[in-house]
Amino acid sequence: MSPTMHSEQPKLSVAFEPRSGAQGSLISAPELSKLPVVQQIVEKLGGPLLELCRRARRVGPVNAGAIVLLAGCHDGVGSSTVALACAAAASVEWPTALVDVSSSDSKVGGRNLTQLLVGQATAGWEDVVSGAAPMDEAVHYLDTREALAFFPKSESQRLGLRTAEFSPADFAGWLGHMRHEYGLVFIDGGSMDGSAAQWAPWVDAALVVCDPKRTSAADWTNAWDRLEERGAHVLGIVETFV
Amino acid sequence: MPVVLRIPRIVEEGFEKASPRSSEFRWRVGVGAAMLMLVAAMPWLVRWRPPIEGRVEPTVSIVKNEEESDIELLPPLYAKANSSSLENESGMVEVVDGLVVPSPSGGSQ
Repeated sequence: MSPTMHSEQPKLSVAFEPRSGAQGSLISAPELSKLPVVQQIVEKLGGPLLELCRRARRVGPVNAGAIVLLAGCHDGVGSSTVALACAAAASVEWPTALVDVSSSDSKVGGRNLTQLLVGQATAGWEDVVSGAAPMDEAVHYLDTREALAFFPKSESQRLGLRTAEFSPADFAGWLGHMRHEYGLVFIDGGSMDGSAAQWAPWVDAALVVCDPKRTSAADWTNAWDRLEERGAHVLGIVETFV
Repeated sequence: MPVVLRIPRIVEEGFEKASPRSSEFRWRVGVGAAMLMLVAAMPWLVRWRPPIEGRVEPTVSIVKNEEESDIELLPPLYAKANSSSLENESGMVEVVDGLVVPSPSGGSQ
């Protein structure tokens, strides 16, 4: 289904515009003092972000969590920032996980999420999938309540010292475990030019992140189509730097 | 376009754009620089005298005029204290040239 057809449906064309004041903010959102930009986004757009997370949650199974992919139309459109903001907002209502699967060129302020939040991760999600490391070794909690878990990329995988070898069954098993552990799992897939599209078959919903100044209508239509062709339900477009 | 969320551009707080310096700041910097230059130039200003037109600079002649001098140049002392001079009680030197020692009377007859 093409995005043009989606735009004709009023249900999907509803925009959650930013609202000012206390309605948009989340009082119990995790403190992200390291990331002031993300902190401000959650403070200003907490309400719309949480509403978007509720919609994503409804796409997933009833008795398990939903997996949401964030894919940028291009590099540097802010998909990692949006992923972190969504995860922070969702952690108010559900135990939430954020997984960094982006290629190294997807960055927040010059660094990707793993470098920004953890630094160098000795164990990453790839190690958990392959069985090389337990889940507890790879997880990093971003808040004191331990409601927002972050799974970084393995440093050895990033440097090419070790190649992850796991079967689709291992991968499906890990995602199933994540669904039971967390109400929402956000996957920072990076850009569509990179590896974001290959995650589409494994997720319940996807959000396309675009910078309207840099992205033409053909770009986001192409990204939307590619994700849907691979089985992802595209929730809509998140425009950044508006 | 099925936009579900619009996130405005957020500038990181604390990273303020450098504002142009105010005229008051420039004025204070100018006064401070002037005071500093004045203090640094004080030694030179104290020693310097502006030249007065027509004024003759006092000079000391290297060759002394003996007529105007209050000091009389005397020969060295060893030149005065020769064998034919005697020093009286007041310390003055008297020339005793031509003194003839008398021969003892009635000695050689």
